[in-house]
Amino acid sequence: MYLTKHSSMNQSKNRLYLFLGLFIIYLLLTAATVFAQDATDTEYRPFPGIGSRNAAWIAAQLHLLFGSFILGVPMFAVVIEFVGMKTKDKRYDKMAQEFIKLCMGAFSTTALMGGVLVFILIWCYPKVMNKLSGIFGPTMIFYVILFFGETFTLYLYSYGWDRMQGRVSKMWHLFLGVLLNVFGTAIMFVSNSWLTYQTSPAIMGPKPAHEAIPLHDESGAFIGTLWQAVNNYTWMPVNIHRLIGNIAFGGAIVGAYSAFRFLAAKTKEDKAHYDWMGYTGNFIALCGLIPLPFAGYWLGREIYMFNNTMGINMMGSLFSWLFIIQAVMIGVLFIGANYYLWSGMTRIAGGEVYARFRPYMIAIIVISVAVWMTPRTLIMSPTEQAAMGGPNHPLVGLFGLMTAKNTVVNLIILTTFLSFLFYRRSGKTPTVGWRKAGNIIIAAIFGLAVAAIVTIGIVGFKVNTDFRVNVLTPIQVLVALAVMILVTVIDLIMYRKARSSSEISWGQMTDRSQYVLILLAITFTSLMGLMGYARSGLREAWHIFGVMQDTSPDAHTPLLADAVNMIAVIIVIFFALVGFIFWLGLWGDKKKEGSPPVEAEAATGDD
Amino acid sequence: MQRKLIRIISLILMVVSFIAYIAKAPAFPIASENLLPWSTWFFIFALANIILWQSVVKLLSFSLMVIWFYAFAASVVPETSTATFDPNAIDRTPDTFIEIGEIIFNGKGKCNTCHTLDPSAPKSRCPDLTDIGTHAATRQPGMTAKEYLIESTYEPHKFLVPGYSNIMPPVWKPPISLSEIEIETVIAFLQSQGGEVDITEFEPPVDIGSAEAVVEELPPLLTGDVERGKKVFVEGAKCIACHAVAGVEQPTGQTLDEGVEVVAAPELTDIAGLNSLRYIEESVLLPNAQIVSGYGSVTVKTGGATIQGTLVTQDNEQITVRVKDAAGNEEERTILLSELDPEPIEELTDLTGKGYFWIQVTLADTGATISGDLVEEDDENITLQIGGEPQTISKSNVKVQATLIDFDENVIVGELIEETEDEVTLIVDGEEQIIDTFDIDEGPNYSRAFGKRLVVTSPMPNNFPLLLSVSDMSDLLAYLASLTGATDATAAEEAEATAE
Amino acid sequence: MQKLSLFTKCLIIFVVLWLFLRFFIGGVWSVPLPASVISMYLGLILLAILVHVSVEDDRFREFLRPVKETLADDARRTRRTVLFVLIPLVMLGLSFSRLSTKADPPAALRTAHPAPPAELTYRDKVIGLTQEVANPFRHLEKDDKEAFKAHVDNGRRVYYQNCFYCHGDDLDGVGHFAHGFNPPPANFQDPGIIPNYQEAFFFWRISKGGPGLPPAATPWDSAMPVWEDHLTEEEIWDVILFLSEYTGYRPRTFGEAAH
Repeated sequence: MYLTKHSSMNQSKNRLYLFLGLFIIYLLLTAATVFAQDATDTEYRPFPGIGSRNAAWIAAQLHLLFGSFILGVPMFAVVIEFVGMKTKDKRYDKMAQEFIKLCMGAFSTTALMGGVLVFILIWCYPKVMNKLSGIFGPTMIFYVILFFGETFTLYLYSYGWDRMQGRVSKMWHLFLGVLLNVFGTAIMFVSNSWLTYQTSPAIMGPKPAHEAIPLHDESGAFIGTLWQAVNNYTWMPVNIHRLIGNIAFGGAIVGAYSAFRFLAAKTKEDKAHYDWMGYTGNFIALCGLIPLPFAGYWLGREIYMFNNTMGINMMGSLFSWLFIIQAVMIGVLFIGANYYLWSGMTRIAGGEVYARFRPYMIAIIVISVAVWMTPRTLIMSPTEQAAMGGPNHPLVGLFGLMTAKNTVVNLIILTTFLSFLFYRRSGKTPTVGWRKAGNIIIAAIFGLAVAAIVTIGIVGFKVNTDFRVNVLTPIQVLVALAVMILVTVIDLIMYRKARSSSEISWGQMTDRSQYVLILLAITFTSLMGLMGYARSGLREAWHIFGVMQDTSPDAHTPLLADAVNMIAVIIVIFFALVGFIFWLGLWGDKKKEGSPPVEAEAATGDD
Repeated sequence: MQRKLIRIISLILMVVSFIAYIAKAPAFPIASENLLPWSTWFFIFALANIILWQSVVKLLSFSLMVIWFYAFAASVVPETSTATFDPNAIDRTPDTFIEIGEIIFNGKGKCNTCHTLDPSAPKSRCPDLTDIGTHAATRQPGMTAKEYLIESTYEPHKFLVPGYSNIMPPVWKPPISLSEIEIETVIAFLQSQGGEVDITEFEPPVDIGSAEAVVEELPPLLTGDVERGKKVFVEGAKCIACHAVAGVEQPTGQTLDEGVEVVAAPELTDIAGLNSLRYIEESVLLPNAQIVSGYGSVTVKTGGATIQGTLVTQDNEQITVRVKDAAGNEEERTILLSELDPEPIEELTDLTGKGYFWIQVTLADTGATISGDLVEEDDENITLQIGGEPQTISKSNVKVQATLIDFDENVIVGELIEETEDEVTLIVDGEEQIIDTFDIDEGPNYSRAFGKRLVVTSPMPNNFPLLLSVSDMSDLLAYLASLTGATDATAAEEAEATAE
Repeated sequence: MQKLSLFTKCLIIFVVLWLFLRFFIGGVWSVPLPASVISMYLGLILLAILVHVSVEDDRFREFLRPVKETLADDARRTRRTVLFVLIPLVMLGLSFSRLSTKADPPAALRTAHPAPPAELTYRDKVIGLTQEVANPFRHLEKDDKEAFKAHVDNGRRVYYQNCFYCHGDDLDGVGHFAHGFNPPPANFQDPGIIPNYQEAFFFWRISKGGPGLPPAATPWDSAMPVWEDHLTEEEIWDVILFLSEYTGYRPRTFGEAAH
């Protein structure tokens, strides 16, 4: 069995790392304040070599990725710890502890990246930072206090894990975990206020018009209160979107870590443990992924409310192609998640009876993804356009419309749910007398739901947009939700006293399924990078939208291809660092177990 | 050992090709993006590594492949620029200019659609610009590299590189709409291709100042500026070269007040007093719509010779044309209408519209050939004045002469009997002859009648809608509307008020 | 008859689906698909096949067996030799076709939905294009049916006097002049046109025409004239009402975030 106890050596290494990180931050900040002294008349200083924008971009995105990881993981670690306490199953407790251990290494890196980011911003963009700190000064002090709170709770939570295993002290430990999440979430909310302010420096006016009330006068001077600046248009939507996104991202990275350990594992026990951990990570990632579009929808709506031009730039004009790449990534996420579930069924004896449905499910998902990825405006040469007789294809052009996209998203979600259902049922035989009728009812519910969703989708082409958005689309979503709830209830009753013909043989997974977990983690990371580019790029040539113009040579919005190139560089750096941190953990463990560090060189690979 | 070596080499190559792809290094070994781009190299080596290695390197190759896939997917999208910054606010340093110029070259300016920067690339639509910074100085004697670049950007037709045609669009106009400073940055970037960069400001050789105004808004008819319109009239469109206005100096240095006789085009001193604003607008945009008598130019054929000149007078018998001979001397010639050469007419439609006044046809039913002045025409019939008597002829009742050339280069002329998709039936020298359409090289061309015509056109260029920007046009109209014969400003304002 | 291997079956499925996309959808059923769309769909089909064969170990081994045999088994030497000759030849052909100069201009993207400015100046009158601008006559639809009908009729008159030459007498974008334009005139019968834009958007596009497009919309070489010079504000709003009434599609309102 894999051991999760910290060696004293590992502890001191972690601590050393943290203090080193904090010391560097201190140095950087001191240096930055010195530079900021003469910032009054300097607008920009060039960053040597790669340019200011790229430097800030790399630092900010890395900071965000690490931050997202260390904010997301404690959320489900606490939940898993709670589950472990209730079920008295030690495995859960161990897994939660291992999650937090991963956080520890990433924590100092987050802080370090934050320090580097602040340094770059103050050095390269003194005027912007002056303006922002003029408005948000008090929140920055609050931020520092929260940061200390977060640091100490995380350390108490992590190092106290083994000691606080008593009945009462476990409660206190859980409380620490909750406190840790409160601090973490608060930190994110505070820093979100700064960047959302840059995008939407206005507050929502009274009902019913909800017109944007700018917080600056004609000359660009700030006229609002601090709270108004914090509570700007996009602050809360971004908060919620990131909160959910962090959970999904944390789950995906944990899954990738488990896959990595699974592939490196030498013993059966290790394989079984990391298989199970990878499954849990993937499950958490999917749970985060499903509500994410709704949060994104809210954010998009607020952007439209704040500034219609900005909204159209996002969805229809400047950034419309970005959303096609996003569709590619989300398509990969869903296909990958289903692949992982189907692979999982091969480790359960009795799962193979559902294999005959697989080709149809693949077909539904792939056709749906194809529809989703088809842009409204196709890439084509003028000759092809002439052959088509217009810019929109009479058949495929219809796939570009929202009603088609909404329909296929619901179909993809339902198919994924069906995969879950089969996975749950694998290796179990219901004992209730009405099992045949039950299956027929479930099949009928699915059939009717799919028919209804597709019919609504087709009707959606004919009706006006307001009716479709306000009535038809919600009905589609409700139908999908209703099916999921109804089928889950029937299924639970049917399988309550089911005869279990086989247990899940954890560890008997194909290596390919583990690669899929890594694919999912990279895709999640790319998606975050891409959406970060969209969020930031929406400001166009403004530091603070409509108030403070960007007059540096970097003011143009980079092309999508260049941006994704940049994101690729960031992802490579991110996974190199993550690989290093994971390897540190592995290294410490190996030392402790006394075995030679065979996998040490093997583990450097993830760069 | 050997296996290990292969693995390590393929690992190194994969990493190198990944870095080269991300860093956008020039293609290898043949410097052509089309043949073997780095992404192909990377794909091959990543695949090889996934197959050759186990565990960690396999994982690394797989991860890099996923990252590469998204970067590649995004690069497939043929995007145009999203450069939305205010270029007037940038630093005026050579480095900044070159950097921005390159972005515009590959983005908003769309220069890279036709020009390449790669001497080994397949021949493109426009010249390759490798080392243009030095080559530019050698293209035209007496021109520095920068002057040549400026001219080639603003007036690309002035010097064409041999082998290329004049296809470059005006980059300062929509849809490309580069601003003046954006063009400056592009020129700096081009200079940096092997030459010295000199970013001092320059005056564009053509008027691009209005480019932005065109994009922003279009003023209705009379919102133009009279003073600017006058500038357009004198300098921009050079209307003054032909049209005189009292008080405005002519290219010859004289003004109308000194008794200059205007011959080229109508005098416009009080044009707004004589004509409506719509008429003026129409005359600028469609010069042929109404031709002031005495100013139309005419082309006629007589005795096999073509005479071209200004139509001075015209009556039912004769016309007087003022022609210029090769030496530039002017003389007036009088031509009898009856002496004009008849030309073959292919289609009997809109004969009066095409300027015909005399028609000769051969009737199909009687075989008689008749001719006379064209009196009336409708869709089915024409009425000719024959010997004082009007005679109406159906357009379908005319013999049609067909001329065709077969593949043996025989010219066959005959009367058309019937034409189907497969064959043409003609009467040639009294004999019916059937010709398969497969044997026809050229034709058949038909002539249904012969006619004499007199086509009068305006000598004014009809491309002003293209030559003038919209704001120039409205300025010009505003100016013309102010020409009411009075020379003081109040009268001009009055005219504006009434016209609105 | 030897049983087909899994690999061959997959190959056949792939080719059949390619033919289906290329010739059935792009020929028999509808008009040809652009190459970009076909390659995207083929990529997905390939992915689907790989997913299907690789979930279970046995099947994956079965799938790879012919590949391994071809590469390593001496009994398959002929096939190997043929492949090793064919593949470089195909690569050569592909390289040749990529290097040869094509007459076809490169593919370009249109910005189908350019962002309108926040406000526009219509003959010196400033009109905001945000929330508060709805069609000033739209309310008549409920309040005064007769007046509404008069406005729609006026819009019909305006349309057939000015617009139908390009946009067609059935509003389907195939008027007499339509074939001369690239991009072609908007087809209002397409479900993706009217329901996707607000009335203010149409007002902007009609009044400012092609020249009024923002720089971000290039290369949208629209030939749409600037109707501001020729139509009154009321006529433009009326023609928008007519477009909606004739086609049965309603423009979207500002109550909804577009997506």
